[in-house]
Amino acid sequence: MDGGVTSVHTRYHPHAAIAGLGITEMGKVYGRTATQFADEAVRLAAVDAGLALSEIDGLLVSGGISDDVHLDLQRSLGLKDLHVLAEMQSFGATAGAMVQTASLAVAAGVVNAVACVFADAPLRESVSAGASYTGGSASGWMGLLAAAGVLGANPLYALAARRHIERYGTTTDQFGAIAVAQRAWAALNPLAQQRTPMTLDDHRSSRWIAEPFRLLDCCLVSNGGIAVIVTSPERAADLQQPPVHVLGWGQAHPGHFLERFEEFGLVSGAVDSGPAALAMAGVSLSDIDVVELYDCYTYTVLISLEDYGFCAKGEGGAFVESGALGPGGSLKLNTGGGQLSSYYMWGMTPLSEAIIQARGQAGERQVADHELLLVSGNGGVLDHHSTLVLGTHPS
Amino acid sequence: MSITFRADPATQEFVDLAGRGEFLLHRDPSTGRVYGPQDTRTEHTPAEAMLPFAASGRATVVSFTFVHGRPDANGVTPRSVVAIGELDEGPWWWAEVEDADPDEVKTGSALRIAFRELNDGQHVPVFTLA
Repeated sequence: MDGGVTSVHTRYHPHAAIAGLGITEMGKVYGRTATQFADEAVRLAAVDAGLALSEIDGLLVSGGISDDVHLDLQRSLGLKDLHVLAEMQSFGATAGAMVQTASLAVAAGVVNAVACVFADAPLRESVSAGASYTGGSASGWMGLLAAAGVLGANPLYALAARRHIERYGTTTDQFGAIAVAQRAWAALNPLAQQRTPMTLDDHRSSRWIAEPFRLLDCCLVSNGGIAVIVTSPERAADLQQPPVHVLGWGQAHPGHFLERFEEFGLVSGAVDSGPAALAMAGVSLSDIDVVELYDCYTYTVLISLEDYGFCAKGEGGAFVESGALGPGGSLKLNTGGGQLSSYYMWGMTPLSEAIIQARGQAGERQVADHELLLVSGNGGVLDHHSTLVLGTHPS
Repeated sequence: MSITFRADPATQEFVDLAGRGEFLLHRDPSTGRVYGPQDTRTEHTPAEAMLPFAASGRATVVSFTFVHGRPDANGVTPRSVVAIGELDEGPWWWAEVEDADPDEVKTGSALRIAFRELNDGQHVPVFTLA
């Protein structure tokens, strides 16, 4: 991949802030549709911001695996005269992409306040979490692969992780170190679904899902919804929450899905979108206080850490088992427990925790220095990546 | 986990040829490069000018995973092998390696393309150990 930094990234300075955050009940919450979760999340975000629902004049919606959040959310919310309305889908990169799109629209002056919402309701009573992400009917090339035994994301990410193991000598215990560190954060997070402390032995003894992944290498599956409200820094300053400023962004969509790619499993879009977002924000990686990485699997964290440059390529394993992670570690990473231990709302998981940390509202898990935060999104099988740099100050 | 696959316009020709025991590839006559079944055109060449041909059926493991199911009533955990195979012609493909002893599957192991018949008579390609 080429570096993602262009002159635009060094020339353009975003002018937008996140003023509202709405998080519904999460996890095994049954009897509600994704649209209902989305509706509630937007209302909660408006209340959180101290913004009348009628002030929202932009709406970006995103549905997860249940694909059940659409433009009619406008009607559900009773929103009139919107100036921005769209469904967005970049898989796990969507949350970052929505904030970027909303920020551009706000900065252009075409809209005052954009609600960006993700909701999903794949879990059903008496159906396993795994089955909620596979099965049913399928067409297209992915359907054909599923019929040939390649079912869902687990084997595809496992194939990627195996390449990292074989190229760099990464170990499953190193994956485990990530899970253990994030569980330690989750223990401090009342929002987290999994708060029981975890040891490396717990990880080693959890059942295999798709080798090299055990159960504790894989994210949760959650029902719920999360919304954020993006507005101008000036409007955000008048509202009731500390503004979280959008300082930089990047996206990377390498385009190698389902084709021969020699670096499959060894590199992610973070290589491109990370430097782009940092350049736009005018900061360096060493300036970042809090890191919220998309963690559908432990391995996803490891490869993202390498590709952002927190450690050298191939040294992710040694880095994560060095004690750098967890509440006592030097790198404040996935401070809510992430998708592995807290809740799985695709890209809204790292984004929501970053907002909570930036505001200083993380309670027991609050990171002391939280002026600059990096948030990643990852979708497909390392096919889509987004980066946001957020901060407590406008520049 | 049951999946019902329905061929669509994008996959129909490939599935039809799979039913005849052929794995469809495409060669771009302008570059000589071989493309996978899903790449019916290239930046150089429109679909009608691409040269379709059947793969030899030989491939090599690029990466592999052992997928574990939930234990059955007897406590036996079903396990399948899934691999990326590099076809001898160049493209990669993703499928289960049927009837494989996991201990026998390594990166670099030789594979053969086989064809799995689905309940409705459609066929999709899978791998076997060569």
